[in-house]
Amino acid sequence: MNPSRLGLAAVAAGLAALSGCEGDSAGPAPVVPPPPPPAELSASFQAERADLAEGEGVEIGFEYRVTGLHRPFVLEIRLAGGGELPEDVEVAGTAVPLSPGEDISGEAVLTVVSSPDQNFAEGEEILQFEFVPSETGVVRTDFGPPVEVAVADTPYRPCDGVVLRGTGVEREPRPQEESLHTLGTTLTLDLTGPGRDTTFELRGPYLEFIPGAREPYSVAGFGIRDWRIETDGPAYRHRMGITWPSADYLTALLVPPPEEPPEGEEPAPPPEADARLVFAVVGPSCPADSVLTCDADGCYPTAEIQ
Amino acid sequence: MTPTPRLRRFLFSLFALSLLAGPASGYRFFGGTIDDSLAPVSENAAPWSPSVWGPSQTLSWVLSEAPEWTDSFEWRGETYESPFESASDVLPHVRAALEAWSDVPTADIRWRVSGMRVNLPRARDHINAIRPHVLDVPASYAAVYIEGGEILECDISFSPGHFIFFGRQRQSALVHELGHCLGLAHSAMFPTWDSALFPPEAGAVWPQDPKMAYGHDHDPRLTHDDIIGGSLLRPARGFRHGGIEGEVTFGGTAARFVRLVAARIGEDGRLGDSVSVFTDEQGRYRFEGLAPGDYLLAAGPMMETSAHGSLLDAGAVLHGAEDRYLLAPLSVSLGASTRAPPIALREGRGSAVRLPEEPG
Repeated sequence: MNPSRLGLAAVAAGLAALSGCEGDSAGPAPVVPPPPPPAELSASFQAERADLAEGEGVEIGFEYRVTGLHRPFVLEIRLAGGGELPEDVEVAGTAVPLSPGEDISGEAVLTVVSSPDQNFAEGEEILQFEFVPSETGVVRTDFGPPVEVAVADTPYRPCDGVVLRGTGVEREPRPQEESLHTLGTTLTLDLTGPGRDTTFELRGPYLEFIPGAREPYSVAGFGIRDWRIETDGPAYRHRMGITWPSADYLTALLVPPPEEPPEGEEPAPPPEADARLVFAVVGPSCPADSVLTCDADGCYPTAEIQ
Repeated sequence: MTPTPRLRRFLFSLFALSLLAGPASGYRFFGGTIDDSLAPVSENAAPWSPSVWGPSQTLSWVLSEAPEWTDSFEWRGETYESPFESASDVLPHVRAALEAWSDVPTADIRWRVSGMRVNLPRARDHINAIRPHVLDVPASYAAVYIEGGEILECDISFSPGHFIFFGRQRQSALVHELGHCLGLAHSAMFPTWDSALFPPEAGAVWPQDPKMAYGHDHDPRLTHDDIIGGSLLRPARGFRHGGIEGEVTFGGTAARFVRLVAARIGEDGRLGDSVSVFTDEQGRYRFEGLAPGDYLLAAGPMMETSAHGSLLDAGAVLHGAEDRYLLAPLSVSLGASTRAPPIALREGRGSAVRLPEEPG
């Protein structure tokens, strides 16, 4: 006998014996059913964009339909791009459990709630939500475009008849010296009624110059760009592009370069200069000083200058 | 520290234009006497004697032909060659500086260079002279001779160093000294303190210093502040204007010699032409020469103490007061002075960040 033929026969006998152990040793070997085809799931939001103000919530409806679902499945919604939700935003309705069935459809609601904060120069916050595709292959998905949720900044009202708004604080390279940066925002002050006689008081930064001077003196360490005033009857609107030095800029101005460290030691890092703009809104309709601070994160009321 | 290149340039220009205004640093205008040089409004200003330079008359200047125009210039261990081969090379720049003032349509300023001389004594001699002045810093000054409350003569000592260091905009210091000769003291405004950090290309609201400031930019063009000052001293026929007046306090008492700036609101709503004044001993101020329109006011301590020595001697509020901006526009009409609401400056400014001195 050909030895190789003998070997194959021995393997075949072994396989038959194994099959016999799992099933009815008396009957024929069973047929394994093919896996079911993947379910078809479609979902889409009922709007492309939703707007809400700080401290408010919005409900965004969405529709779904699934056919041929043989296992439980959860339709999920997440922040597009894989980022994390901002601290001041809460979301509900991001998971819809789907039970097995041949043809299931329905509607549900995604709820987005923005918590109020005192930052009035965050700028508009845009969040995008999308359906999460299945990664198991159990469900074939056909999803609509993501929905965009715009969270508007809430203006700050420090005094009667005074409303403050700010665009998001932006960091920009300083002209002609791009290794250094400035921070800037466009502040809008609406003054009406008792707020018309309001004044703006700069609390800092001030920079003190000495060289060549008879007495030390300090100057405002900020710049105003494109200051415009609109008058509408008894109301005024000021728009001021305010720029102030960033920490790297101030540090470069103020801090001597580190001395050469002793051999084997790391140079000490330069101290971080304070890069905040501090101002006060003062007027007859203001019961007390309203001190405001702008930094890289925005502008907000502060009780005291640190 | 080693300043950034930008800061180094800035400090250098500060030092380079350390001008000596004679006979004493006043504010806005020179007063009738050296001891009474604090003239806040034009009616207290010392005018030119009508016997020397009356209305519609032309004032003559003589340019020195002294050899110092061609001297090399020493600055911090470096030697710089003079840009001039003779006094004739200086003449076009003097003429351009004179024209900067005589071109002001609202002012009656007529002056010209009548000749050049080799020997010009450094004294009062009834000759308005422009001489070379070589120091160890590029500094120039104007000596204004006042007697009986009138200006009789002015001599300018001018450093060729300005031309060496400030390139194409080199007439700026000459324009400044000629402003002193008109009777203008140092301006209270210093917009380039802002642009030292945020230069004009960054869109600063006030990108240009008045020529009568202690000059940190080198643009020879007159600003609105200069034009109004010259026009108030030597008004052209038909120059009509309005004003703003009011009081400033600091800590409940008169804010002595603090700076105020009035910025005109343009038709497009943007802040534009600006004028500056100081308060007087009682904290009062008055803007003159304003065109009709709406203005915003800002107030704060003086900038550049070296430019206003007499105000420091007289007790100017300097340290501790915050800058204040009034946000309600003030409307100015021809022939009237608008009363502004009281401005109360408050203590603060304690957190000023001290910039380091220029090394070496």
